[in-house]
Amino acid sequence: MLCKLSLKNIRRSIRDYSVYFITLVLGIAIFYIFNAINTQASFLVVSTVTADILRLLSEVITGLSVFIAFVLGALIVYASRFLMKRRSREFALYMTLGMRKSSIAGILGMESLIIGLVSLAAGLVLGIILSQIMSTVVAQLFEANMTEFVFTFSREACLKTILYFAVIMAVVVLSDMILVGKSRLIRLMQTGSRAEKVRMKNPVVCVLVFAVGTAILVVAYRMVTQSLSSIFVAPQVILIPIAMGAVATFLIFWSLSGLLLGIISRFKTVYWKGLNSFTFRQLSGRVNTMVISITIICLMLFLTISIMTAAFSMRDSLNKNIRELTPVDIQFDKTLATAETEKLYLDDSMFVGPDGKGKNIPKEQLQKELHQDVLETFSDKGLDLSSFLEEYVSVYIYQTDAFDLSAALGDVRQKLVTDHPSVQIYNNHDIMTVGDYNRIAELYGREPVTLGENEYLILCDYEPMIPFWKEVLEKETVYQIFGHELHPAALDPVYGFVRLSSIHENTGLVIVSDDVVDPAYRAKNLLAANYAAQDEAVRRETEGKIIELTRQVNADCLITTVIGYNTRIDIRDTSVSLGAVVTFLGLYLGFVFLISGAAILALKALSDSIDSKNRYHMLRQIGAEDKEIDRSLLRQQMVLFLMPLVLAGIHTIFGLRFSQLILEQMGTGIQTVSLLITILILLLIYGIYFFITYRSSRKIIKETV
Amino acid sequence: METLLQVKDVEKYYGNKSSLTKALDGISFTVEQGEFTAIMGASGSGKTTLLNCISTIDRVSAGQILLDGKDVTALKGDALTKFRREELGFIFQDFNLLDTLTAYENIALALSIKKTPVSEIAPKVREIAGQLQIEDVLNKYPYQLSGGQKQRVASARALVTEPKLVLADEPTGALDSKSAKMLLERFSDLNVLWNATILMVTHDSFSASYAKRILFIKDGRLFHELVRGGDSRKDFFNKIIDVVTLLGGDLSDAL
Repeated sequence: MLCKLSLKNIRRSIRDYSVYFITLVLGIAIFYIFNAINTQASFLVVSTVTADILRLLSEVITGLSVFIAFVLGALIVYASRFLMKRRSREFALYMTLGMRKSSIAGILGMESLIIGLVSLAAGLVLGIILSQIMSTVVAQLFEANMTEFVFTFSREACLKTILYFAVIMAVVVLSDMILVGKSRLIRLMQTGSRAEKVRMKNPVVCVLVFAVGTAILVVAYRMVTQSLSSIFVAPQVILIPIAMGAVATFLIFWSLSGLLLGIISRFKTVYWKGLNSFTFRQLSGRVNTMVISITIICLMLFLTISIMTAAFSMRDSLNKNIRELTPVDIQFDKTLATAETEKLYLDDSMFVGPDGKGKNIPKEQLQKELHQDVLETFSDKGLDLSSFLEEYVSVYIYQTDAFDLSAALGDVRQKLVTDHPSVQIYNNHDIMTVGDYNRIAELYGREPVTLGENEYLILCDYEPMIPFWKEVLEKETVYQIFGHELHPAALDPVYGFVRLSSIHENTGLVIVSDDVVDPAYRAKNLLAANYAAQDEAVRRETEGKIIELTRQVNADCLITTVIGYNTRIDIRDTSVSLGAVVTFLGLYLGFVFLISGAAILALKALSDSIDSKNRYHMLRQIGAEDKEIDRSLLRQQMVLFLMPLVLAGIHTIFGLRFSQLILEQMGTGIQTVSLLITILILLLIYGIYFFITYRSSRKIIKETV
Repeated sequence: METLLQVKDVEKYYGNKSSLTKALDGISFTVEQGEFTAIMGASGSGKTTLLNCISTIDRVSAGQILLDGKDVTALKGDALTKFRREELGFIFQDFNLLDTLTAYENIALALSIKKTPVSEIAPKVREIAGQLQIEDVLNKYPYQLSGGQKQRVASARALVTEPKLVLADEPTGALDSKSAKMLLERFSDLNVLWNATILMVTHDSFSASYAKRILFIKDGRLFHELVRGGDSRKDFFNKIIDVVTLLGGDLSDAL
């Protein structure tokens, strides 16, 4: 009997459930899709680096899913409470008929079970379908080759989804039962018939609050876009403008309803046209009672746009950078001893034996090792590195205590210290000869540079440093290097690098004429090379061999980390995978925030329509046309949906400037395409919720009171 | 005087073949321009059904209703809404004011729905508010008003558009006797001063005694008609009581 009643109830109120249902289905689908990524990735042929990162991804997603489950759980409980309110009269009827509260709770439990099962099934089906599309995205993001289409189904993700949603639904049923248990008949009967008291806000107060809110917002915007430097000292400083932004958002929405009404009611021709006066009043009432929700929704939308855009951008620019930043297969890096550092290396106390005392090291061998370049080190151990290499360039970096970063910066030093207090300005600065640079640049496929006598150039591709170098050059800072007086050869630093890397991180390197340097000050030997192999698989094999050899050489050397290396495959795998991970997490969080925000707004708008049902009835009675009433409703809901979106958009413009600066520090930047994709996804989902809300509301207000 | 409303052999059935209820059973009458007419009857006598048919909220099963010579039973869709908006004014038992709007805005809304030019709205609202003595509460919200004030605001909203016919369904039903008296006196004044045609449904003899003419309905038929003529309101009231006693049933219980 109860089951029958529950089924009939659901069928009858199916459209009330549409927002609830959509939210459940989308939530379940997203939960499944992201938890299934691990299974999908297991079908891809990936390197060990990528496999490691995939393990990391799956762990992070597992942890994140707990958080997401909490968010979705809270959302579903909220939505179900909304439905309870909607049906309070029905429950009152049951009670007056003498039905026990436990039976009513039973009906509710049964309904939740049915709805839960149906949406779980629908959500899983949708999730499984979408995750097939996702698997191509996964393959593309990890830049793996997907030779054939494989239908993937993750049993693990499926079970996990069922488990989590079973728990959520149990909480929903429990909360509904508590609500029924606490309900009073009289309260249930009266729902919707209580007259609303209109609290008009004092227009002067509104203007003041609006001004204060705007002022706080402007200050917060300035903080994130201008006084950034402090953020690099203490990252938690960013929380201050975010908190200010949240407070300002609240104040603006709080004052907006009164303010807009105050302004618009002065434009009599607009205000007194058709149903406009009703529409504006209704809207201002809505915004008044929904200030907190609208604020939350606005912030959620802001988070969605920022997270998604940042995630997409990071991936895009990482991948774009990789191609540019890894022009050769491998680049070795060997530390050498200069005339100044040699004695430090030869100091016995540097070497500690197993007994805690100085190791008795063969000084001659150490000295020899400290002056060999990469190839010599290999051949000294009887290994022929060059046989693996098709072409290579060996260059040196020179350093001296007499020329550190502070000397290289000259007068600009103080400005850099103020803006970036964490920079170590007393580190010896890298110097390279123009001959060396041009040889490595040729191998890298980059433009060679020319240098006159007694001139120098700066090589830099780390965006935040470029303006400082520019100033150094414009000020015609004179360098004293190895007894030569050098002048800048150009007004701009040369954009470039010498080491392989995943990001633009060359903070500055001084290029001087070949005759300036003293060979006794060679601090590093760089060997950039391409493998003597064409095929990707063979290259990976070659790389494995080379890395193994390098390990052997390092183990044989007295200073065990003497040779370092960066390889194209390694950097690419790491950053492609990292990019993919960031994208996934961004998408996951973004989607959930988006759905939460949109669902809360939709439910609020619907419950408002229910509360205002008799107002629309009155309008029809005094002769307003259905067409006009629909238009009034559409306008109200459009403003309601657009308001948080617009403010979130403004927040995002400034938020993204901040993200841009952060990403630049990481050597990447915001990509317009990613921003557009994000906005498109956002508008689509938000639009679906808006459409459903409008449709349902239109039906609700057509009901007789 | 010219005839404004003509109700000709109107019938209204509810239900299906197996159980048919005749709410209106061949009712006919006319209302002249500028008349203040009351319709009385017990619960279930069909008076509200009659009002709903005249106001085009409900459709007749048979017969014709002519307003100013136009058959309103033949109207459909937008024409119906337009007719209701342009030619009729409604006053309800439970006021039906929009709680989000001030008294002024409630009245003005009726004009703006009619697409009245903005410049004409304020003077019209002021004038009718003066007639109904509600000028000092115009900027208040419905929840700040007493029942009598609310009903006068609702009446102002019905009258401000200068409809051909004002339909009032138990306008005093939710009011205390003092407020009811005040409202009905205003109706009488407006009827005289504005030459407004008012058709009021009530089961309260006191309220009905303010009208110039009373139609009594029983079981969906016209049962009796009283015209006040030169009678004082008190004499007219006594005549009404006599008819009501004769009618018997619920109506006498209600008194």
